[in-house]
Amino acid sequence: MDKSKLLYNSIAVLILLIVLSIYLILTFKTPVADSSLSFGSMKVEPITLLKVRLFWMIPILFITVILSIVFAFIIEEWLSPTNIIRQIIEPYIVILSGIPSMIYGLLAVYHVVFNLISSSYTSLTLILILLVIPTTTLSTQTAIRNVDTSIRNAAYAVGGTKWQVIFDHVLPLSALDILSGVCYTISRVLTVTAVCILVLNLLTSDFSTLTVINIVNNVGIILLLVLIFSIIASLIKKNTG
Amino acid sequence: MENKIEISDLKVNYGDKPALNGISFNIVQNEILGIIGPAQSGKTTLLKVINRTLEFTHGVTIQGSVKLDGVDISTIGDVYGLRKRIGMVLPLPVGLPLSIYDNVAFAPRTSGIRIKAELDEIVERCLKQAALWDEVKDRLNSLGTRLSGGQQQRLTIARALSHQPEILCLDEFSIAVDPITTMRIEEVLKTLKNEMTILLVTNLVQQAKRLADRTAFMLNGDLIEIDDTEVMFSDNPKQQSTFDYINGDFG
Ligand SMILES: Nc1ncnc2c1ncn2[C@@H]1O[C@H](COP(=O)(O)OP(=O)(O)O)[C@@H](O)[C@H]1O
Ligand SMILES: [Mg+2]
Repeated sequence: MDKSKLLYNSIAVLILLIVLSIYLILTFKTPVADSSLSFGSMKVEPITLLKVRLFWMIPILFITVILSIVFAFIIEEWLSPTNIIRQIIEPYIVILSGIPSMIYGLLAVYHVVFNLISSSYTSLTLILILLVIPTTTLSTQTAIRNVDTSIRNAAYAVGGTKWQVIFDHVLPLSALDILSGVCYTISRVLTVTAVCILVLNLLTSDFSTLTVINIVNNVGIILLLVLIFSIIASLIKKNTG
Repeated sequence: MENKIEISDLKVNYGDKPALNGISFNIVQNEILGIIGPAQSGKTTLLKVINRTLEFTHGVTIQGSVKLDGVDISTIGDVYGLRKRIGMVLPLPVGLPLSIYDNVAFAPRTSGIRIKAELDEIVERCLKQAALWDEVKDRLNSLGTRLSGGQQQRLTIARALSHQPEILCLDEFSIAVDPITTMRIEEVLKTLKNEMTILLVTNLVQQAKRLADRTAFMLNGDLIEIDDTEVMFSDNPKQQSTFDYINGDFG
Protein backbone atom coordinates (compact mmCIF):
# COMPACT_ATOMS: atom_id res chain seq x y z
CA MET A 1 0.00 0.00 0.00
CA ASP A 2 1.57 3.28 -1.00
CA LYS A 3 1.75 6.32 1.24
CA SER A 4 -0.99 8.41 -0.32
CA LYS A 5 -3.42 5.49 -0.23
CA LEU A 6 -2.67 4.99 3.43
CA LEU A 7 -3.18 8.69 4.06
CA TYR A 8 -6.55 8.87 2.31
CA ASN A 9 -7.72 5.69 4.00
CA SER A 10 -6.78 7.06 7.41
CA ILE A 11 -8.61 10.30 6.65
CA ALA A 12 -11.68 8.32 5.62
CA VAL A 13 -11.62 6.23 8.79
CA LEU A 14 -11.20 9.37 10.88
CA ILE A 15 -14.06 11.19 9.18
CA LEU A 16 -16.37 8.20 9.42
CA LEU A 17 -15.55 7.94 13.13
CA ILE A 18 -16.33 11.62 13.62
CA VAL A 19 -19.61 11.28 11.74
CA LEU A 20 -20.48 8.24 13.83
CA SER A 21 -19.72 10.11 17.07
CA ILE A 22 -21.82 13.09 16.03
CA TYR A 23 -24.62 10.74 15.11
CA LEU A 24 -24.45 8.98 18.45
CA ILE A 25 -24.41 12.26 20.40
CA LEU A 26 -27.39 13.61 18.47
CA THR A 27 -29.47 10.47 18.84
CA PHE A 28 -28.72 10.27 22.56
CA LYS A 29 -30.24 13.71 23.02
CA THR A 30 -33.53 12.93 21.36
CA PRO A 31 -36.24 11.53 23.59
CA VAL A 32 -36.53 7.78 23.76
CA ALA A 33 -38.29 6.05 20.94
CA ASP A 34 -42.08 5.96 20.68
CA SER A 35 -43.08 3.39 23.18
CA SER A 36 -44.96 0.45 21.84
CA LEU A 37 -47.93 1.77 23.81
CA SER A 38 -48.46 4.67 21.46
CA PHE A 39 -49.14 2.28 18.65
CA GLY A 40 -52.46 1.66 20.27
CA SER A 41 -53.78 5.11 19.50
CA MET A 42 -52.94 4.86 15.81
CA LYS A 43 -55.65 4.91 13.20
CA VAL A 44 -53.89 2.56 10.82
CA GLU A 45 -52.29 -0.70 11.71
CA PRO A 46 -48.60 -0.01 12.45
CA ILE A 47 -47.58 -2.84 10.17
CA THR A 48 -49.57 -1.36 7.30
CA LEU A 49 -47.96 2.03 7.89
CA LEU A 50 -44.50 0.46 7.84
CA LYS A 51 -45.28 -1.45 4.68
CA VAL A 52 -46.47 1.73 2.95
CA ARG A 53 -43.26 3.47 4.00
CA LEU A 54 -41.14 0.60 2.75
CA PHE A 55 -43.13 0.38 -0.48
CA TRP A 56 -42.32 4.00 -1.28
CA MET A 57 -38.67 3.16 -0.96
CA ILE A 58 -38.82 1.08 -4.16
CA PRO A 59 -38.54 4.03 -6.58
CA ILE A 60 -35.81 5.52 -4.39
CA LEU A 61 -33.98 2.19 -4.48
CA PHE A 62 -34.26 2.27 -8.26
CA ILE A 63 -32.83 5.79 -8.46
CA THR A 64 -29.93 5.09 -6.07
CA VAL A 65 -28.99 1.95 -8.02
CA ILE A 66 -28.88 3.89 -11.30
CA LEU A 67 -26.91 6.69 -9.65
CA SER A 68 -24.39 4.22 -8.24
CA ILE A 69 -23.83 2.68 -11.66
CA VAL A 70 -23.32 6.09 -13.26
CA PHE A 71 -21.03 7.01 -10.37
CA ALA A 72 -18.93 3.88 -10.91
CA PHE A 73 -18.60 4.61 -14.62
CA ILE A 74 -17.47 8.16 -13.91
CA ILE A 75 -14.84 6.92 -11.46
CA GLU A 76 -13.55 4.15 -13.72
CA GLU A 77 -13.67 5.90 -17.07
CA TRP A 78 -12.90 9.50 -16.26
CA LEU A 79 -10.77 9.50 -13.14
CA SER A 80 -7.32 7.95 -13.35
CA PRO A 81 -6.20 5.87 -10.36
CA THR A 82 -3.98 8.72 -9.17
CA ASN A 83 -6.69 11.33 -9.52
CA ILE A 84 -6.98 13.09 -6.19
CA ILE A 85 -10.79 13.02 -6.12
CA ARG A 86 -10.80 9.31 -6.81
CA GLN A 87 -8.21 8.67 -4.13
CA ILE A 88 -10.29 10.58 -1.63
CA ILE A 89 -13.61 8.94 -2.54
CA GLU A 90 -12.60 5.32 -2.95
CA PRO A 91 -11.79 4.50 0.71
CA TYR A 92 -15.35 5.49 1.72
CA ILE A 93 -16.84 3.19 -0.89
CA VAL A 94 -14.70 0.28 0.24
CA ILE A 95 -15.18 0.85 3.98
CA LEU A 96 -18.93 1.45 3.79
CA SER A 97 -19.54 -1.52 1.52
CA GLY A 98 -17.79 -3.75 4.02
CA ILE A 99 -20.33 -3.01 6.75
CA PRO A 100 -22.72 -5.94 7.24
CA SER A 101 -26.32 -5.18 6.35
CA MET A 102 -27.31 -6.14 9.89
CA ILE A 103 -25.80 -2.88 11.16
CA TYR A 104 -28.01 -0.94 8.78
CA GLY A 105 -30.85 -3.19 9.94
CA LEU A 106 -30.28 -2.01 13.52
CA LEU A 107 -30.24 1.61 12.37
CA ALA A 108 -33.45 1.04 10.46
CA VAL A 109 -35.08 -0.60 13.46
CA TYR A 110 -34.20 2.37 15.64
CA HIS A 111 -35.17 5.11 13.19
CA VAL A 112 -38.06 3.52 11.39
CA VAL A 113 -39.67 0.99 13.67
CA PHE A 114 -39.19 2.59 17.07
CA ASN A 115 -39.98 6.02 15.68
CA LEU A 116 -42.61 4.83 13.27
CA ILE A 117 -44.96 7.74 13.80
CA SER A 118 -42.48 10.59 14.10
CA SER A 119 -39.98 9.32 11.58
CA SER A 120 -40.07 10.64 8.05
CA TYR A 121 -38.93 9.19 4.78
CA THR A 122 -35.63 11.04 5.19
CA SER A 123 -34.11 8.60 7.64
CA LEU A 124 -35.22 5.65 5.52
CA THR A 125 -33.76 7.25 2.42
CA LEU A 126 -30.46 7.94 4.17
CA ILE A 127 -30.16 4.36 5.35
CA LEU A 128 -31.02 3.15 1.86
CA ILE A 129 -28.35 5.37 0.33
CA LEU A 130 -25.73 4.10 2.78
CA LEU A 131 -26.82 0.55 2.08
CA VAL A 132 -26.98 0.74 -1.70
CA ILE A 133 -24.46 3.20 -3.08
CA PRO A 134 -21.18 1.74 -1.71
CA THR A 135 -21.85 -1.90 -2.63
CA THR A 136 -23.38 -1.17 -6.02
CA THR A 137 -20.61 1.25 -6.93
CA LEU A 138 -17.92 -1.18 -5.85
CA SER A 139 -19.38 -4.15 -7.72
CA THR A 140 -19.96 -2.03 -10.84
CA GLN A 141 -16.37 -0.78 -10.69
CA THR A 142 -15.13 -4.35 -10.51
CA ALA A 143 -17.37 -5.32 -13.41
CA ILE A 144 -16.01 -2.48 -15.53
CA ARG A 145 -12.43 -3.36 -14.65
CA ASN A 146 -13.07 -6.96 -15.66
CA VAL A 147 -13.73 -5.90 -19.24
CA ASP A 148 -10.56 -6.90 -21.06
CA THR A 149 -8.40 -3.87 -21.82
CA SER A 150 -7.61 -5.31 -25.23
CA ILE A 151 -11.23 -4.79 -26.23
CA ARG A 152 -11.08 -1.21 -25.12
CA ASN A 153 -7.82 -0.70 -27.02
CA ALA A 154 -9.18 -2.39 -30.13
CA ALA A 155 -12.23 -0.15 -30.10
CA TYR A 156 -10.09 2.94 -29.59
CA ALA A 157 -7.65 1.80 -32.27
CA VAL A 158 -10.34 1.93 -34.95
CA GLY A 159 -11.18 5.45 -33.87
CA GLY A 160 -14.04 4.86 -31.45
CA THR A 161 -14.82 7.77 -29.16
CA LYS A 162 -14.99 7.37 -25.41
CA TRP A 163 -18.79 7.29 -25.47
CA GLN A 164 -18.87 4.70 -28.22
CA VAL A 165 -16.40 2.54 -26.37
CA ILE A 166 -18.45 2.77 -23.17
CA PHE A 167 -21.89 2.25 -24.69
CA ASP A 168 -21.02 -0.22 -27.45
CA HIS A 169 -18.46 -2.32 -25.64
CA VAL A 170 -17.80 -1.80 -21.95
CA LEU A 171 -21.45 -1.56 -20.89
CA PRO A 172 -22.73 -4.63 -22.81
CA LEU A 173 -19.76 -6.69 -21.70
CA SER A 174 -20.07 -5.76 -18.05
CA ALA A 175 -23.88 -5.70 -17.94
CA LEU A 176 -24.32 -9.13 -16.39
CA ASP A 177 -21.73 -8.51 -13.70
CA ILE A 178 -23.30 -5.15 -12.93
CA LEU A 179 -26.71 -6.79 -12.69
CA SER A 180 -25.28 -9.44 -10.42
CA GLY A 181 -23.99 -6.72 -8.11
CA VAL A 182 -27.40 -5.03 -8.18
CA CYS A 183 -29.13 -8.30 -7.25
CA TYR A 184 -26.73 -8.75 -4.39
CA THR A 185 -27.46 -5.23 -3.17
CA ILE A 186 -31.20 -5.77 -3.45
CA SER A 187 -30.90 -8.88 -1.32
CA ARG A 188 -29.07 -6.76 1.27
CA VAL A 189 -31.87 -4.20 1.19
CA LEU A 190 -34.50 -6.92 1.52
CA THR A 191 -32.71 -8.34 4.54
CA VAL A 192 -32.96 -4.97 6.27
CA THR A 193 -36.61 -4.75 5.27
CA ALA A 194 -37.28 -8.16 6.75
CA VAL A 195 -35.60 -7.15 9.99
CA CYS A 196 -37.80 -4.04 10.27
CA ILE A 197 -41.02 -5.90 9.62
CA LEU A 198 -40.06 -8.68 11.97
CA VAL A 199 -39.20 -6.36 14.85
CA LEU A 200 -42.39 -4.35 14.44
CA ASN A 201 -44.27 -7.60 14.38
CA LEU A 202 -42.70 -8.70 17.63
CA LEU A 203 -43.42 -5.33 19.22
CA THR A 204 -47.07 -5.28 18.32
CA SER A 205 -47.91 -8.92 18.69
CA ASP A 206 -49.35 -10.70 21.58
CA PHE A 207 -46.40 -12.80 22.64
CA SER A 208 -48.55 -15.67 23.74
CA THR A 209 -49.73 -16.37 20.20
CA LEU A 210 -46.35 -15.83 18.64
CA THR A 211 -45.24 -18.84 16.64
CA VAL A 212 -42.68 -19.56 14.01
CA ILE A 213 -45.52 -19.77 11.52
CA ASN A 214 -46.53 -16.28 12.51
CA ILE A 215 -43.08 -14.89 11.79
CA VAL A 216 -42.64 -16.77 8.55
CA ASN A 217 -46.04 -15.51 7.54
CA ASN A 218 -44.84 -11.93 7.76
CA VAL A 219 -41.32 -12.02 6.44
CA GLY A 220 -41.15 -15.40 4.74
CA ILE A 221 -41.78 -13.99 1.28
CA ILE A 222 -39.05 -11.41 1.74
CA LEU A 223 -36.56 -13.95 2.99
CA LEU A 224 -37.41 -16.11 0.00
CA LEU A 225 -36.78 -13.13 -2.28
CA VAL A 226 -33.43 -12.54 -0.56
CA LEU A 227 -32.51 -16.10 -1.38
CA ILE A 228 -33.69 -15.81 -4.98
CA PHE A 229 -31.79 -12.57 -5.59
CA SER A 230 -28.61 -14.04 -4.09
CA ILE A 231 -28.93 -17.09 -6.29
CA ILE A 232 -29.54 -14.98 -9.40
CA ALA A 233 -26.55 -12.81 -8.46
CA SER A 234 -24.22 -15.78 -8.29
CA LEU A 235 -25.70 -17.43 -11.38
CA ILE A 236 -25.23 -14.48 -13.73
CA LYS A 237 -21.85 -13.45 -12.41
CA LYS A 238 -19.19 -14.26 -14.95
CA ASN A 239 -16.50 -16.56 -13.71
CA THR A 240 -13.27 -14.64 -13.84
CA GLY A 241 -9.77 -15.66 -12.99
CA MET B 1 10.81 8.61 -51.86
CA GLU B 2 8.56 10.44 -49.48
CA ASN B 3 8.66 9.97 -45.72
CA LYS B 4 5.30 8.96 -44.29
CA ILE B 5 6.42 8.98 -40.68
CA GLU B 6 9.41 10.72 -39.15
CA ILE B 7 10.40 9.66 -35.68
CA SER B 8 13.04 11.66 -33.89
CA ASP B 9 14.58 11.04 -30.52
CA LEU B 10 11.54 9.17 -29.23
CA LYS B 11 11.79 8.31 -25.56
CA VAL B 12 9.12 6.43 -23.64
CA ASN B 13 9.08 5.59 -19.95
CA TYR B 14 6.60 3.48 -18.03
CA GLY B 15 6.94 5.21 -14.69
CA ASP B 16 10.71 5.21 -14.12
CA LYS B 17 11.22 2.23 -16.40
CA PRO B 18 12.52 3.15 -19.87
CA ALA B 19 10.95 1.33 -22.82
CA LEU B 20 12.36 3.38 -25.72
CA ASN B 21 15.67 5.19 -25.28
CA GLY B 22 15.53 7.94 -27.86
CA ILE B 23 15.13 6.31 -31.25
CA SER B 24 15.06 8.10 -34.61
CA PHE B 25 14.18 6.80 -38.04
CA ASN B 26 11.84 7.41 -40.94
CA ILE B 27 9.17 5.27 -42.52
CA VAL B 28 8.82 5.66 -46.24
CA GLN B 29 5.49 5.94 -48.06
CA ASN B 30 4.22 2.60 -49.41
CA GLU B 31 6.99 0.51 -47.99
CA ILE B 32 6.71 -2.51 -45.79
CA LEU B 33 8.97 -1.84 -42.84
CA GLY B 34 9.75 -4.97 -40.87
CA ILE B 35 10.54 -4.45 -37.20
CA ILE B 36 12.28 -7.36 -35.52
CA GLY B 37 13.78 -7.87 -32.10
CA PRO B 38 13.38 -10.06 -29.06
CA ALA B 39 10.47 -9.69 -26.64
CA GLN B 40 10.47 -6.61 -24.39
CA SER B 41 12.50 -4.55 -26.83
CA GLY B 42 9.82 -1.88 -27.22
CA LYS B 43 8.22 -2.82 -30.53
CA THR B 44 4.63 -2.79 -29.30
CA THR B 45 5.29 0.41 -27.40
CA LEU B 46 6.45 2.05 -30.62
CA LEU B 47 3.23 1.11 -32.43
CA LYS B 48 1.13 2.38 -29.55
CA VAL B 49 2.93 5.71 -29.69
CA ILE B 50 2.10 6.04 -33.36
CA ASN B 51 -1.66 5.55 -32.97
CA ARG B 52 -1.67 7.36 -29.63
CA THR B 53 -3.24 4.56 -27.66
CA LEU B 54 -0.26 4.52 -25.31
CA GLU B 55 -1.85 7.55 -23.68
CA PHE B 56 -4.34 5.21 -21.97
CA THR B 57 -1.57 3.45 -20.10
CA HIS B 58 -1.17 5.01 -16.75
CA GLY B 59 2.06 6.76 -15.82
CA VAL B 60 3.59 6.85 -19.29
CA THR B 61 5.80 9.71 -20.39
CA ILE B 62 6.57 10.27 -24.05
CA GLN B 63 9.33 12.60 -25.28
CA GLY B 64 10.57 13.37 -28.74
CA SER B 65 8.46 13.71 -31.84
CA VAL B 66 6.56 11.53 -34.24
CA LYS B 67 5.53 13.26 -37.43
CA LEU B 68 2.88 11.92 -39.75
CA ASP B 69 3.02 13.58 -43.17
CA GLY B 70 5.13 16.27 -41.53
CA VAL B 71 2.64 17.00 -38.74
CA ASP B 72 3.58 16.21 -35.15
CA ILE B 73 0.94 13.73 -33.99
CA SER B 74 0.90 15.10 -30.45
CA THR B 75 -0.47 18.37 -31.85
CA ILE B 76 -3.33 16.67 -33.68
CA GLY B 77 -6.55 17.65 -31.92
CA ASP B 78 -8.78 15.04 -33.49
CA VAL B 79 -7.14 11.97 -32.01
CA TYR B 80 -10.05 9.77 -33.18
CA GLY B 81 -9.44 10.95 -36.71
CA LEU B 82 -5.73 10.19 -36.33
CA ARG B 83 -6.48 6.64 -35.16
CA LYS B 84 -8.68 6.12 -38.18
CA ARG B 85 -5.75 6.91 -40.44
CA ILE B 86 -3.87 4.02 -38.83
CA GLY B 87 -5.01 0.42 -38.92
CA MET B 88 -3.84 -1.68 -35.98
CA VAL B 89 -3.68 -5.45 -35.79
CA LEU B 90 -2.77 -6.79 -32.36
CA PRO B 91 -0.89 -10.03 -31.53
CA LEU B 92 -3.94 -11.87 -30.29
CA PRO B 93 -7.06 -11.31 -32.31
CA VAL B 94 -9.49 -9.13 -30.45
CA GLY B 95 -12.90 -9.90 -31.82
CA LEU B 96 -15.07 -7.10 -30.59
CA PRO B 97 -18.08 -8.88 -29.13
CA LEU B 98 -20.13 -8.17 -32.21
CA SER B 99 -21.21 -10.04 -35.31
CA ILE B 100 -18.71 -10.53 -38.11
CA TYR B 101 -20.50 -7.86 -40.11
CA ASP B 102 -20.59 -5.38 -37.23
CA ASN B 103 -16.93 -5.96 -36.42
CA VAL B 104 -15.97 -4.72 -39.85
CA ALA B 105 -18.69 -2.06 -40.02
CA PHE B 106 -17.72 -0.66 -36.62
CA ALA B 107 -15.24 1.96 -37.80
CA PRO B 108 -17.19 3.08 -40.90
CA ARG B 109 -20.25 3.52 -38.68
CA THR B 110 -18.32 5.66 -36.23
CA SER B 111 -17.40 7.90 -39.12
CA GLY B 112 -21.07 8.32 -39.92
CA ILE B 113 -21.69 5.88 -42.75
CA ARG B 114 -25.22 4.57 -42.24
CA ILE B 115 -26.37 3.52 -45.70
CA LYS B 116 -26.72 -0.25 -45.76
CA ALA B 117 -25.53 -0.71 -49.35
CA GLU B 118 -22.42 1.32 -48.67
CA LEU B 119 -21.64 -0.63 -45.51
CA ASP B 120 -22.27 -3.92 -47.32
CA GLU B 121 -19.76 -2.93 -49.91
CA ILE B 122 -17.10 -1.96 -47.37
CA VAL B 123 -17.62 -5.17 -45.39
CA GLU B 124 -17.32 -7.30 -48.51
CA ARG B 125 -14.26 -5.46 -49.79
CA CYS B 126 -12.41 -5.67 -46.48
CA LEU B 127 -13.25 -9.31 -45.85
CA LYS B 128 -12.03 -10.12 -49.35
CA GLN B 129 -8.84 -8.15 -48.80
CA ALA B 130 -8.25 -10.06 -45.59
CA ALA B 131 -8.85 -13.39 -47.39
CA LEU B 132 -11.77 -14.24 -45.16
CA TRP B 133 -14.80 -13.52 -47.35
CA ASP B 134 -15.29 -17.01 -48.79
CA GLU B 135 -15.27 -18.62 -45.36
CA VAL B 136 -17.78 -16.30 -43.69
CA LYS B 137 -19.98 -14.83 -46.41
CA ASP B 138 -22.89 -17.10 -45.41
CA ARG B 139 -22.77 -16.25 -41.72
CA LEU B 140 -21.99 -12.58 -41.50
CA ASN B 141 -24.42 -12.23 -38.62
CA SER B 142 -22.86 -14.80 -36.34
CA LEU B 143 -20.55 -13.65 -33.56
CA GLY B 144 -17.00 -12.77 -34.57
CA THR B 145 -15.70 -14.33 -31.39
CA ARG B 146 -16.98 -17.75 -32.54
CA LEU B 147 -14.49 -17.91 -35.40
CA SER B 148 -11.27 -19.88 -35.15
CA GLY B 149 -8.08 -18.10 -34.08
CA GLY B 150 -6.78 -17.71 -37.61
CA GLN B 151 -10.14 -16.48 -38.87
CA GLN B 152 -10.44 -14.01 -36.02
CA GLN B 153 -7.05 -12.59 -36.85
CA ARG B 154 -8.13 -12.07 -40.45
CA LEU B 155 -11.27 -10.45 -39.10
CA THR B 156 -9.15 -7.97 -37.16
CA ILE B 157 -7.22 -7.27 -40.35
CA ALA B 158 -10.50 -6.67 -42.18
CA ARG B 159 -11.54 -4.36 -39.37
CA ALA B 160 -8.24 -2.51 -39.51
CA LEU B 161 -8.74 -2.03 -43.26
CA SER B 162 -12.35 -0.90 -42.96
CA HIS B 163 -11.49 2.72 -42.35
CA GLN B 164 -9.10 2.76 -45.31
CA PRO B 165 -6.03 3.56 -43.25
CA GLU B 166 -2.95 5.18 -44.71
CA ILE B 167 -0.78 3.10 -42.43
CA LEU B 168 -1.32 -0.49 -41.39
CA CYS B 169 0.46 -1.65 -38.25
CA LEU B 170 0.66 -5.36 -37.57
CA ASP B 171 1.99 -6.50 -34.22
CA GLU B 172 3.15 -10.11 -34.35
CA PHE B 173 -0.04 -10.98 -36.15
CA SER B 174 0.88 -14.59 -36.81
CA ILE B 175 1.23 -15.71 -33.19
CA ALA B 176 -2.21 -17.30 -33.12
CA VAL B 177 -2.44 -18.13 -36.80
CA ASP B 178 -1.56 -21.37 -38.57
CA PRO B 179 1.23 -21.33 -41.21
CA ILE B 180 -1.12 -21.62 -44.19
CA THR B 181 -3.25 -18.70 -43.07
CA THR B 182 -0.06 -16.77 -42.35
CA MET B 183 1.03 -17.31 -45.94
CA ARG B 184 -2.34 -16.11 -47.20
CA ILE B 185 -2.18 -12.97 -45.09
CA GLU B 186 1.36 -12.33 -46.28
CA GLU B 187 0.12 -12.43 -49.88
CA VAL B 188 -2.58 -9.94 -48.90
CA LEU B 189 0.02 -7.62 -47.41
CA LYS B 190 2.08 -7.65 -50.59
CA THR B 191 -0.88 -6.33 -52.58
CA LEU B 192 -1.94 -3.86 -49.86
CA LYS B 193 1.48 -2.26 -50.07
CA ASN B 194 0.36 -0.42 -53.18
CA GLU B 195 -2.32 1.39 -51.23
CA MET B 196 -0.74 1.99 -47.85
CA THR B 197 2.39 2.03 -45.74
CA ILE B 198 2.83 -1.10 -43.66
CA LEU B 199 4.63 -1.52 -40.34
CA LEU B 200 5.19 -5.18 -39.73
CA VAL B 201 6.36 -6.01 -36.23
CA THR B 202 7.23 -9.66 -36.29
CA ASN B 203 8.67 -12.34 -34.07
CA LEU B 204 9.44 -14.41 -37.16
CA VAL B 205 12.68 -13.12 -38.62
CA GLN B 206 12.02 -14.94 -41.88
CA GLN B 207 8.70 -13.17 -42.24
CA ALA B 208 10.50 -9.83 -42.36
CA LYS B 209 12.89 -11.30 -44.91
CA ARG B 210 10.01 -12.46 -47.10
CA LEU B 211 7.96 -9.27 -46.94
CA ALA B 212 9.84 -6.21 -45.82
CA ASP B 213 11.48 -3.67 -48.07
CA ARG B 214 13.49 -2.42 -45.16
CA THR B 215 13.99 -3.96 -41.74
CA ALA B 216 14.67 -2.39 -38.37
CA PHE B 217 16.25 -4.30 -35.50
CA MET B 218 15.33 -3.23 -32.00
CA LEU B 219 16.87 -4.39 -28.75
CA ASN B 220 16.06 -3.26 -25.20
CA GLY B 221 14.50 0.00 -26.29
CA ASP B 222 17.25 0.91 -28.75
CA LEU B 223 17.13 0.92 -32.50
CA ILE B 224 20.26 -1.07 -33.32
CA GLU B 225 20.07 -0.89 -37.06
CA ILE B 226 17.72 -0.07 -39.92
CA ASP B 227 18.51 -0.81 -43.52
CA ASP B 228 17.30 -2.49 -46.69
CA THR B 229 16.19 -6.01 -45.93
CA GLU B 230 18.83 -7.53 -48.21
CA VAL B 231 21.57 -5.71 -46.31
CA MET B 232 20.16 -6.65 -42.91
CA PHE B 233 19.92 -10.30 -43.89
CA SER B 234 23.26 -10.39 -45.69
CA ASP B 235 26.45 -11.73 -44.13
CA ASN B 236 27.62 -8.28 -43.20
CA PRO B 237 25.06 -5.93 -41.65
CA LYS B 238 26.65 -2.98 -39.88
CA GLN B 239 26.07 -4.33 -36.39
CA GLN B 240 27.29 -7.67 -35.15
CA SER B 241 24.23 -8.06 -32.89
CA THR B 242 21.93 -7.76 -35.92
CA PHE B 243 23.77 -10.64 -37.54
CA ASP B 244 23.65 -12.66 -34.34
CA TYR B 245 19.94 -12.10 -33.81
CA ILE B 246 18.97 -12.88 -37.38
CA ASN B 247 21.06 -16.00 -37.39
CA GLY B 248 19.68 -17.16 -34.11
CA ASP B 249 22.89 -16.85 -32.06
CA PHE B 250 21.27 -14.75 -29.43
CA GLY B 251 21.29 -14.79 -25.64
N1 LIG C 1 1.70 -1.31 -19.64
C1 LIG C 1 3.00 -1.40 -19.30
N2 LIG C 1 3.39 -1.01 -18.06
C2 LIG C 1 4.69 -1.07 -17.69
N3 LIG C 1 5.69 -1.50 -18.48
C3 LIG C 1 5.36 -1.91 -19.73
C4 LIG C 1 4.00 -1.88 -20.20
N4 LIG C 1 3.98 -2.32 -21.48
C5 LIG C 1 5.27 -2.62 -21.78
N5 LIG C 1 6.10 -2.37 -20.74
C6 LIG C 1 7.57 -2.56 -20.71
O1 LIG C 1 8.13 -1.87 -21.79
C7 LIG C 1 9.16 -2.62 -22.39
C8 LIG C 1 8.87 -2.81 -23.87
O2 LIG C 1 7.71 -3.63 -24.02
P1 LIG C 1 6.99 -3.88 -25.40
O3 LIG C 1 6.85 -2.59 -26.11
O4 LIG C 1 5.76 -4.65 -25.15
O5 LIG C 1 8.08 -4.78 -26.14
P2 LIG C 1 7.88 -5.84 -27.31
O6 LIG C 1 6.59 -5.54 -28.02
O7 LIG C 1 9.09 -5.64 -28.16
O8 LIG C 1 7.88 -7.18 -26.67
C9 LIG C 1 9.24 -3.93 -21.63
O9 LIG C 1 10.31 -3.85 -20.72
C10 LIG C 1 7.93 -4.01 -20.92
O10 LIG C 1 8.06 -4.69 -19.71
MG1 LIG D 1 4.97 -6.81 -28.31
